[in-house]
Amino acid sequence: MITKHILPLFAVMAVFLVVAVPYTSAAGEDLIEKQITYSIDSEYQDEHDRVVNIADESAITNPDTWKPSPQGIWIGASTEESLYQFDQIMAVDNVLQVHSHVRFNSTQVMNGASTTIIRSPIASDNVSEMRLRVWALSTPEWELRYPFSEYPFLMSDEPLAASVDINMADTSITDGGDQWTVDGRTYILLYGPLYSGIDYVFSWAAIYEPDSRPAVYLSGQDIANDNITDTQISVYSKLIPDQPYEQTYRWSIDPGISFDFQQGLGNGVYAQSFYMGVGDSISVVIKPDNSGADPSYYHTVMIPWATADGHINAKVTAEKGSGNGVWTPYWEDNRTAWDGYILACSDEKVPNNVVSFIRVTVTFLSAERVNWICLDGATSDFSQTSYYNNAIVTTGGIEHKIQSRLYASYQKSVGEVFMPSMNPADFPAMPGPKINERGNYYGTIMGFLLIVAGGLLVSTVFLAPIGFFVGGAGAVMLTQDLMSGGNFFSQNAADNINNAINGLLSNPLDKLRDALGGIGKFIISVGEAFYDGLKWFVDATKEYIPILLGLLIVAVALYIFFYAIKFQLQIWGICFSMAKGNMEAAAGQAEQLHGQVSGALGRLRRT
Amino acid sequence: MDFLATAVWIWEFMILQLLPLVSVLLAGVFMLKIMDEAPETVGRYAKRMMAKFNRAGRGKQ
Repeated sequence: MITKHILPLFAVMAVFLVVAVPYTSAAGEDLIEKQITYSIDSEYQDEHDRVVNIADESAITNPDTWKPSPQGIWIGASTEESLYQFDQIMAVDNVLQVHSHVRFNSTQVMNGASTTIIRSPIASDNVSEMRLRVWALSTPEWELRYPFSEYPFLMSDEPLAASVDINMADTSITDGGDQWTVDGRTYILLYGPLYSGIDYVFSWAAIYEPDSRPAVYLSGQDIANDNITDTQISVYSKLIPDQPYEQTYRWSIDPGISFDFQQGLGNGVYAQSFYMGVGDSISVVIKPDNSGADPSYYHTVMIPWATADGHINAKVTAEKGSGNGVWTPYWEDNRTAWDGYILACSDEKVPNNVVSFIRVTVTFLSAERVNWICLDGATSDFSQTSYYNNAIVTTGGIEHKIQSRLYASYQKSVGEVFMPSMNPADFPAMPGPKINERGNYYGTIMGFLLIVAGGLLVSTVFLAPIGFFVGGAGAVMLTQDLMSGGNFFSQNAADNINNAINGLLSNPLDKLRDALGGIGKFIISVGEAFYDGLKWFVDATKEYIPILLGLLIVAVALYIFFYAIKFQLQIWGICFSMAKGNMEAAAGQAEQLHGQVSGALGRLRRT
Repeated sequence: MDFLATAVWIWEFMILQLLPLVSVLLAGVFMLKIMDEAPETVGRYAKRMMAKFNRAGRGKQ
């Protein structure tokens, strides 16, 4: 019987031992394996990870590859860019265009930047010419217009924000122009406004030496974190005359372009700062106004600028041209010293013939750091942008192109225009300032004394004629003094009198004046105290009126409550007396009630 | 607490709630008392009138 129950129990225990013990052992082995995994020496762990840790100072990141190191706000891919080389071998006639769409945001560059270094994504090896155009898009959609031309263009006449022809022979960062090619990368120093929140397309065109393969740097990251990865690349190579190789790519990837924003920007108007040495110049092309019926006019140009001392010495010249790059002298101003701004005028009238372009050049005669005021004039009118929306600053023989319009006003006038002189000696005469001086009233006092003295002399009878004269003079003096507000004697004369009589007059008068001033102050203080009291009373009233009103309400409520009950009791008392047949008692109660009501009404009427 | 609000509450409680209640109670009590007393008075009055009419009738005969 017992075995019947014991045997299954033994069987269960045996199964448990057979299964559970190895299972536990296996679980323990797993645990050991995990421990081994975690105990890898940290010295080697980086070898298994190719991701660049940008927090690690020893890792090479993309900004580290910049020459020179970025100086301002740097924007670009943080990890190193990849070099992508095309299969096509370029013939003699070739071009590579790379266009990429970028939009900066205000947390990166605030309103924007006026001076920016841009690194080209095109590897510079075997590139003989390179050109950059920056388009400010009016809509986020864009298409290439001439993908196989050396002049990159977009469809629908987008405004051109900047245009740079890059000298690939310039390999010096500090010398030469505003570009340099170092370690296979080309950098451009761009003087021009780049705003946040604007869609830009950076269009590059490169022409290669024959028998070379174009190569472009690409990034796996989104440049400028703008959620825009739209790149168009076109390759053109004319190996066989009628069958040129033409290929266009559109990739959802950003090219290896990066930016170093060095100087900030206002909005619309901003300043570009240059150190102008002797012989350095700034020139700007003006669209001439060829209207006007007179045979000749004076020409004027006004250019504002800012320097530390507000003064420059410079020669202003104007040249005319027809757009073929040849400039001939037009007029110049013989004035060379300028304060605050330039207002140059031709020394003689200039014949009013039709001129296509006028170029104004300011050439410095003494060194000065100058902030030039510039206007952002990006427009879809390509000729405007090309000719007028830029200024050329030449320092040390090197041209720097400002990609916006120099603030300048060019006018024609019938008469010669002169700059106002900043010399105080040349200022127009102004009425002399009149100081409102306090009257001394010495005339009144002395006049009064003379009258008294005259009176005394008259009273002697003997000296009466002199007395009349002295008294009359005193009366005139007194009257004149009062009419002039106490200024019969000027302050100077009063001082002289005072010195002569040792301050005898000045002291009593001053004391009287001070005393009156004191009384005035006392009256003012009384008024202020009265005002403060009134203010306190109003505040207190405002505070306590609700309480008084509450008390009144409670009192009235109690009065109405108890009086109404009393009145009802009396009415019911009358009714009860009548019900009992006691008419005398009822009449008496009614009389009493009437007396009370009429008394109350009488009190009410009196109040 | 705002004293004015308390006063207004007292007003509403006493005048709008308590006073009608007390009035209804008074009316109830006095109407019962009047109903209790009136029949007796009317009876007395009727008797007296009857006695007066009787005397008058006897005088004429």
